[in-house]
Amino acid sequence: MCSPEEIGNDEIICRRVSANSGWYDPVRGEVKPEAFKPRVGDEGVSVDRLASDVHPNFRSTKESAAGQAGKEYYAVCLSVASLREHGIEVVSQPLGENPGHAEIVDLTYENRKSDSSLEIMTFLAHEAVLRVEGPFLSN
Amino acid sequence: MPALQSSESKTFSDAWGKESVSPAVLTHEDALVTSSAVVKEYHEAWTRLIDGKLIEWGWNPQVFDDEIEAPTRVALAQAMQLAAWMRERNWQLPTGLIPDGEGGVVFENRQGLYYARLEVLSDGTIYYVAFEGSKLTGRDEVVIG
Repeated sequence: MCSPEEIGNDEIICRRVSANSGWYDPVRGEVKPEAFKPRVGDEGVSVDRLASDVHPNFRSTKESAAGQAGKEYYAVCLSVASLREHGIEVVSQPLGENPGHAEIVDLTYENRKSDSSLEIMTFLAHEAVLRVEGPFLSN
Repeated sequence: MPALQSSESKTFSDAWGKESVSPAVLTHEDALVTSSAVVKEYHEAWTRLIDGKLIEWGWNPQVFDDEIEAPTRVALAQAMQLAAWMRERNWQLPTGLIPDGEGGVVFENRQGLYYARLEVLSDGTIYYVAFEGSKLTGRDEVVIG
């Protein structure tokens, strides 16, 4: 059994996407690269490791999708194994109220416009998504 | 004919894809009616994009959550000009029209492995960005010539 800091290949991670952003198109079933774009000051793109038998204290997809009250969010789920096969690393960054928090460290605000970052964001959006759940309304 | 072109005079008329707004084989009368109906539908689809998204985003930037910077007035004006320009030249309708999260707007065309983007930045600068699968194949600043 791995320690909480070591992210297993069999884990699923989840990225929260605002429904109003249009960064997930439910009609075409498409996630947009912008869903993985780093924000100001980001040193990695935030994701949540999903709850499992091994990590029951991690967030569910609904909990991971919680955002601004009154707005709806999708939970975009990806396989850690798929990312690693493509050379993309996910690093555990537990937070006090969110022990399953992690970051895709290859994507930072500083490098977000590089060719490599554009390719990573496009790969994540177009090839790495396992499923999308929601939308969930935040309270 | 004015084109979307880069500083190196590359043009992108064919790269994005053109919409076929004329039927293949019809009688003269049918061709006139159907051609007219097809063109009308095509133009109305562009109008829905412009009114339903670009103008709406300008009126209601609060639809986006706090983590997304709504498109700027400059970006929206440029995007509307670009959309009108593409419509008049029968460019394929975008498969997506989204904010870039930093005050800009992105037109997408995704067909199988081919993925092209016209990125209108917050200051109105336009980039044509193309991918094959997730491999970047080109990124050029363009102007509406």
